[in-house]
Amino acid sequence: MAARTVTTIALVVALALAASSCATIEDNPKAVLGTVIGGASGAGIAALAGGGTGAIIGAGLGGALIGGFIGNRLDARDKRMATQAAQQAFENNRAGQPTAWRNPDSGNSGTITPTRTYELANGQYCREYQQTIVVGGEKNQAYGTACRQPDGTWKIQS
Amino acid sequence: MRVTAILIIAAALAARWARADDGKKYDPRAAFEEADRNHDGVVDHEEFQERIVEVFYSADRNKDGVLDAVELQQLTFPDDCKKDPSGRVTLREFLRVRFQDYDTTDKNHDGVLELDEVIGVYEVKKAR
Repeated sequence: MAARTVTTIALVVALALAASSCATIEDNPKAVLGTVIGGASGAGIAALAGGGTGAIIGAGLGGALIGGFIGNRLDARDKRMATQAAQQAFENNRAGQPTAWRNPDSGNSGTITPTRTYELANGQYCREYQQTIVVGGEKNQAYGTACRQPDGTWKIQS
Repeated sequence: MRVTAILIIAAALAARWARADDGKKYDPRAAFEEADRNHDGVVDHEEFQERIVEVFYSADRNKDGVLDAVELQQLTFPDDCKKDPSGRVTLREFLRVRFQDYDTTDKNHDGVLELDEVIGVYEVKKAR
């Protein structure tokens, strides 16, 4: 009987300790601003062409930047590396964290940085981004938005 | 039977202390600086929302738009805040709860969070 009482008390204590009110900061003040998990700071270097999961669809990576005049000055490997960098950045990077790519053959390079994340009414994630491409030693910048498709690819919206 | 009871209490205490340890590693100043995107010294509603969406997105490992029990282990989100019986949390629900925290933290009720308010919440917890 005494043992059963002790067990009952123990369960009550355990439940009381485990339970907490919906006011999350009372239990853990870091909930106020939270922690963005993963996405170490600093510029990541995208995997070199060949392999990886690069899969950007739509109007061309970077929209007008790569699709237009600058795009014509990038070779196929440049575009593939930029695409892989973008996929990695959109999927894994925290806002403000760039992913860089560099093609030693052409000398061209670039970075892509998600700047803001939001969710559409249908639950689809979208991320605004800033892109820099250095082609022939000339630096070009562009901004845009990409949205995640159900199959995990990212489609450039603008 | 008593051993079982002691083990239950020990497990509960260990879980609570583990959460407290997480708090010790947290740097509220760094979190504030990250959230204060325009560097004006306060975190307003828009900046706070952007911050919380980033927190949610980074925790949503499979990017399905909801946080399941495993993904929620990375965050502070008490069970009694969850409305969905499956224990899954949508971004909308996550924002609702976090904005309650925002209002609680905004001690002077000026509509924005100052660094001392954020640190104040943290210091109260440490002092307990």
